[in-house]
Amino acid sequence: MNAPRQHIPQLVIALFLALMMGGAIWLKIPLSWVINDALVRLAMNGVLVLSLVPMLNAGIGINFGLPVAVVAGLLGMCLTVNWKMTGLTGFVAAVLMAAVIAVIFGSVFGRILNRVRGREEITATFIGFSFIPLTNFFWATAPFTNPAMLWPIGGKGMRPTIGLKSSFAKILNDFLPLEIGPFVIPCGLLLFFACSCLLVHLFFRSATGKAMQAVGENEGYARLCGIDIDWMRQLATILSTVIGAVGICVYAQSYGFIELYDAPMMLAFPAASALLIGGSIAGRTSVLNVIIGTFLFHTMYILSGPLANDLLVPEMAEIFRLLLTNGVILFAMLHAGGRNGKPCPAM
Amino acid sequence: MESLARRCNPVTLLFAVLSLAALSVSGMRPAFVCNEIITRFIRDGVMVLALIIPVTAGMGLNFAIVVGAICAQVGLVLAVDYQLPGAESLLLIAAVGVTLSVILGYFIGVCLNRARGREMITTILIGFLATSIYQLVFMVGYGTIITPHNTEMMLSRGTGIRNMVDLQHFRNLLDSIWLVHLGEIEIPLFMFLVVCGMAATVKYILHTRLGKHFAAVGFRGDRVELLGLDSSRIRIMAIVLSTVIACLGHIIFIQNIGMLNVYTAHLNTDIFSCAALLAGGATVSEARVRHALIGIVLFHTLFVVSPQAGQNLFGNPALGEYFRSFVAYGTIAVALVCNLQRRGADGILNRQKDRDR
Amino acid sequence: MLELRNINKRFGPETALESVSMEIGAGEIHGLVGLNGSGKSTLLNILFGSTTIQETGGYDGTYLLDGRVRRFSSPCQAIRCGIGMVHQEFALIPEMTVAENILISREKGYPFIDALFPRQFSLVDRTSSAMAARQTLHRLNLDLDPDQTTGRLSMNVRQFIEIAREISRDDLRLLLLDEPTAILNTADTDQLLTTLRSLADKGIAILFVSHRLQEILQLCDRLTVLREGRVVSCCAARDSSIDTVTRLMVRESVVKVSRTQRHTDSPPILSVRDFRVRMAGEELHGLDLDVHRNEILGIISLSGHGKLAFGAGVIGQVPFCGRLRLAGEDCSSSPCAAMIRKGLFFLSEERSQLGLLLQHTIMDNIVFAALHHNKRFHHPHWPHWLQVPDQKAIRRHAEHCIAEYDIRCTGPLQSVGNLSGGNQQKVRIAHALTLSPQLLIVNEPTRGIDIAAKERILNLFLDVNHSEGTTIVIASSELDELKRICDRIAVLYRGRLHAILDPAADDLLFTQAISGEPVLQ
Repeated sequence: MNAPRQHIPQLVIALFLALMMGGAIWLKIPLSWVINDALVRLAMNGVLVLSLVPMLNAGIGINFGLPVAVVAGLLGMCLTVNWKMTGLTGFVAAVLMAAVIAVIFGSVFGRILNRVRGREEITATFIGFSFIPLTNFFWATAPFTNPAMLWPIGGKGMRPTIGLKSSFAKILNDFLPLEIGPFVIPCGLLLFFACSCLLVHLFFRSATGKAMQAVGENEGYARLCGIDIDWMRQLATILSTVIGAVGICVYAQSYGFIELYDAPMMLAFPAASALLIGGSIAGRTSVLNVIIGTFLFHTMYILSGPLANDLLVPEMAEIFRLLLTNGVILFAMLHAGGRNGKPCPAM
Repeated sequence: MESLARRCNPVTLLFAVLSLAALSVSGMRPAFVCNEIITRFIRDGVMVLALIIPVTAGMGLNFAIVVGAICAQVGLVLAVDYQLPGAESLLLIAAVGVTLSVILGYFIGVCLNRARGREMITTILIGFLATSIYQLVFMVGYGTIITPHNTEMMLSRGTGIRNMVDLQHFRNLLDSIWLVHLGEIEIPLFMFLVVCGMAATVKYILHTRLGKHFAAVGFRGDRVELLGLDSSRIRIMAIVLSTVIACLGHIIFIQNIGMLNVYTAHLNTDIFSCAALLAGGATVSEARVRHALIGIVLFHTLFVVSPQAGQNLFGNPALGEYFRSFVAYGTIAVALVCNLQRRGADGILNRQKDRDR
Repeated sequence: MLELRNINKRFGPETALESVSMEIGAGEIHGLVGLNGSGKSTLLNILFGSTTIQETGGYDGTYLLDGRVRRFSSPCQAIRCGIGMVHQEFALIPEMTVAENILISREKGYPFIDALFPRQFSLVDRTSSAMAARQTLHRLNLDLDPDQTTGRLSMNVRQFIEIAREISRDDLRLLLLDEPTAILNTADTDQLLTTLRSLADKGIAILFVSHRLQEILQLCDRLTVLREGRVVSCCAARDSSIDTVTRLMVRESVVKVSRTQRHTDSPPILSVRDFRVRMAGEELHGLDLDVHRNEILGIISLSGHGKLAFGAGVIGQVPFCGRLRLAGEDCSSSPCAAMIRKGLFFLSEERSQLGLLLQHTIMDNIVFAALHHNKRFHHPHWPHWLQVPDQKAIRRHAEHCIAEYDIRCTGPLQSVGNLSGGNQQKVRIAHALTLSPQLLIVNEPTRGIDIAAKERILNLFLDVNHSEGTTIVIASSELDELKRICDRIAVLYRGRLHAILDPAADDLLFTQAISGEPVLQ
């Protein structure tokens, strides 16, 4: 196996990160700010990235249909905000409701993906894309009553961004913060992320998790061993959707706002990119890949902003992030797929 | 009767019914709608035709036609930069655009040969990546590395091109040739013929030797090598042709609009073109020129009337807007699910065979 | 015209061809015979420049065509040099018309447009293409509308179209035919042989591969016999008889039948009636077979005659029609999982593709199915529905298996992908036996495995059969191995049961039965 080739994206990113770090120090961007932000962003986006793991390991591929999961999470949060649940209760209620909705969405989504074997990624992409305008329809007409969520004028239809300050904004971020000098370590947030990672890790150690991995690695073999492949794939999709829904709850509470309408459309790509930077190999993606990838990707994300501002054109940061996001995924595609790129079974 | 039902694609039928319903709800004047559709037929027609060849060659929908559009825009920006007069600039645009799209098309083809079996998602990513690079060049590169000749099109800070570039030199340069009035309806006959000519060209290509080889590769990509055809080369050819046609299509699109939205004009051309093609009854594995022509008319009718219909039905034009984007994305999603389902059993067998080899 | 000198080809550790040399002159029809696995297809692949040869490391030796050294890396190059091939599993495109298939890459164009545009971009003239196709088909005495879709035609017509494609070429110098008569009836075969003769008279060299010795002797000028990758004889067809050639194909060996016990009178554990399996390339068309409890049953046939489809059909990997009774219970439509719970297990012939999780450890592989189908390895302290695996028990079992089945490895945590073929096979058998099945069906257990591991595996089957009473069905093309360990050997021909022979029977009898000749018992 060509191990060094697998790690090209990681090496490039790490090198790049080092360069950027140098730049940041040169520009006297405070290191504590970078690290604090990096930790928050790691945990904030980490759960979303984690949500890709079950589907990837079950051989369905990268879940570009992440918007489906995100919408489930948004629905859960909107319901709690509508019922004016606040604080920790609000957050727990949001997560639970999001999970329930995600189970429903995920089982339908999984059933669809079982029909399109071999081209799940493209189908998931377009299911995600088309799901967004569909939910826009819903947001514009939904019978929510809390005026904090509705357009101030007319009182009909949801606002594009809903502030969570009065409900559960930063509830995890501000739970058990550990201050060491200039560094603030958001223990609550990190703990939540670590627990999710642990749960996923333990799942893949159980018999079902192993079966799911086997389906991803070798479908024919799994079938011969009497494993219900369709069910395993559906289960993986449900899991991915549930984790994704929880992920957006974590993201929103940290960000302080719920973003509706077109906001979730492109969420899948940075998440996928982060996972691939982490060195994920289809079928054998571990939680470690998630943590490394998210950390590298988002630290770079943080640094690119002030650097581009100070050095070049401000828009450059955004363009550059997109370039990197899509470049990494494309690189992975060209290396994983097709007849020429297929990893040979080791003899 | 039965053959008629079989020939009528349910997607097409649905589009026809929806368009008619939306048209009646919107209360727009048929002549106005007709004019709009003719304009859009000319604007977007060639772009849709660009998708047919890759579908025939078994590579699915080529979302990388965005790259062709980018090539056209590069040509346009250069023409504006050098401030050439109308007809000459059109030649320059075409020359630059076609050369660039041949080169980039070749690279896309090479990439897709590496990503066999997941071409569509790869083309989407190639489209995204190309957009980023393009934006990087024109927003950051222009004024820093590349020296502009025409300072009018630059942003005031000196780096990067303005969002909007006015193309007064050749606004409707071609559209105004042979303009025919039929009552209230205006038909730019020359451009209409250009689009039809392009359709004929695509049909011609599909019936040449190369076209037959495209079909052979599309049907049985794994076997054609035994017949002495180089499937990798044929697939690259398909993508190059598609990119070139897309580039020409985008030139027509922009000269019709008369303004160049430098950073956003090419976005979504892929989605709308694919949706239009599928609306005409094409599938992910089979597309004909007929599908493209019917599809553009149906898709754009729905597109033109749906905001007004949304306003009249729900009192909210935004709903019509959402409906529009749902139709664009949803058509592709539905086509992917239905088409693959029909070939499901066969597909699994083929994959099994692939494994055996 | 064609000359091969000392061709050697290896697939990994396995030798497929060993110093094969042969010559074919212009206008000669050369027969190539040999049993399955004797290297015929590999030789054809080398001649035709198949990409699989390149991908598996190329070959050694000299390949001369008209005195010039050739080394094709793709069939395109071979075709350009005037080589044509008729494939056993057709290289036709079923969606295209007959004319398009026959003239593919040589389509007729309009002369005017041809002059105007580059060749690739000139319009195909359908009428003259159809004319040309019709003419070619006439040479094969076939009257067929060239504008119809190929996919709808019957198999033997498709076979003729495949041949028509090659003989319509003007630049054809050497024609390779891989079992062209396998699916043809007598009349069609005669027609084909006449056509080939007339082709040869025009100076085209023909390499004819077939299992039907009669045709070979009737048609060919000379013939080469391959056995286990080596040329054992090259002689004029006139001087040979079916008997001598058969003896050459089969290795002269003294096989000791190691079994003395007979179980044939015990009740059947598995019986199938009118069993039809549509497995690509290995179809069963109505098999009636009983497997008795505690016996070892061998199944042998030529490739493509259905021996591999039996296990795949029974376990449910490939859907089947017909009746299937397992231990007296009718289970005609049970999914894999249910069959496994009933005590059946199947090891497919695809060792690395369908046999193992190559990226996982030996330990994981051995207990994989057992973890799912019984509670043996579930952690005792956790509720069963959580399916928490008991790592200690698993490790203990894996270590036990490694010692018991002599798996050569660094430990239970080594990745299976790094093991040799023989050890991988042992892991698979350990995996199967961990479930303690009542009936084990194994396809090609010794394919691609070194001799020492082979012995070990065969003995293992005997041990298990003896100590645990496991019924074993082995589908294999290795006759002498089957003869060594089986109680009965079923010979399949064209997807049906042809004969059930005693392992002690004569090799010649087996060879005849395998190639479909009637056997009197």
